[in-house]
Amino acid sequence: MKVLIADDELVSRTLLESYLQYWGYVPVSVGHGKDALELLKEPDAPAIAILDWMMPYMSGPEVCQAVQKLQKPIPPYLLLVTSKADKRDIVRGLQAGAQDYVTKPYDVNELQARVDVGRRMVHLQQLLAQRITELEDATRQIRQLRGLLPICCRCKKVRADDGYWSEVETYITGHTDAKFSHSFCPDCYKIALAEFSLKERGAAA
Amino acid sequence: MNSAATTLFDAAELKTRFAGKAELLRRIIKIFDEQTPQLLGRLRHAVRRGDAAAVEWTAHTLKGSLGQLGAHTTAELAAQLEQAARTSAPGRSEVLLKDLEAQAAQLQRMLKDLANSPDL
Repeated sequence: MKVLIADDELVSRTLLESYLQYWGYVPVSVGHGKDALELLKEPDAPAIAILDWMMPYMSGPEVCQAVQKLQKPIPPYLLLVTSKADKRDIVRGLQAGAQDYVTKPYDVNELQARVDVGRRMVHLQQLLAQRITELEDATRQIRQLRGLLPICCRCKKVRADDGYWSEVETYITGHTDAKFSHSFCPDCYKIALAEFSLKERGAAA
Repeated sequence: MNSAATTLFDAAELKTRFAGKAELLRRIIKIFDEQTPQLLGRLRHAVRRGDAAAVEWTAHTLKGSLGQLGAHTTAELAAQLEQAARTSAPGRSEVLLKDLEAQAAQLQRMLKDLANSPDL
């Protein structure tokens, strides 16, 4: 999983890159907030971003606010870095749209735990988005079967949305996951048997 | 090592923190060694110009790198400089910067020695 690091200070940035690599993440680094935002706008943007509070051009909280306005289907998990555990900073950061925060200098175990929470959250959101897509597909199919369906009163073909007439089973197979297995109902079985006997007799005569 | 030097950073703590990651620590020290004179230069320039915003910004950046290397005494000096810039205390900034430069130079030497030591 890609993790964006935005920090203009090279010691902290290199440390973070190395730790993330040790933990199996793919770090992507930038030196200021504007570049961070540009990267987060891309379709294959990192799912987690660790943003330093004080950065040139755009601060960490400003990036958080801008990311919220993007209204992405799966928004990135944003971690703000503060230089000290200043309660006011933490509150301001979370209000700006960050999901969590870490403090500098890094406590490696805490950092790893917080990034892992981010990974779990992103994974859950991806699962949720997938389930929503599946449900939307199912609802669409149900809706397609709920409309007024013209049916020929003689041959029982139905007129589909494209204007063509097709067999009922062809229509239903195309609009749902249902499959047909062909057989005779008891009434038709009797008729078919009678027709078959007639044919046999005709052939014998 | 004199007593003033021993309080600048805790080599044992650093070694424990980077246990099994000696190469990473060497890389970090090298970056610190390259970055610090640049930041101090910028800081000196900003103090001379009386550019409080630049002093605050650069002192903050320096504080970040010092903290990561466990140089808490010097990081505290940088924090004081950051604060002095915020509260517009130029006279104090000059004094703090001098202390910061002296400590940073000492730190750089000590960290270099650590990076070159075979038992890292």
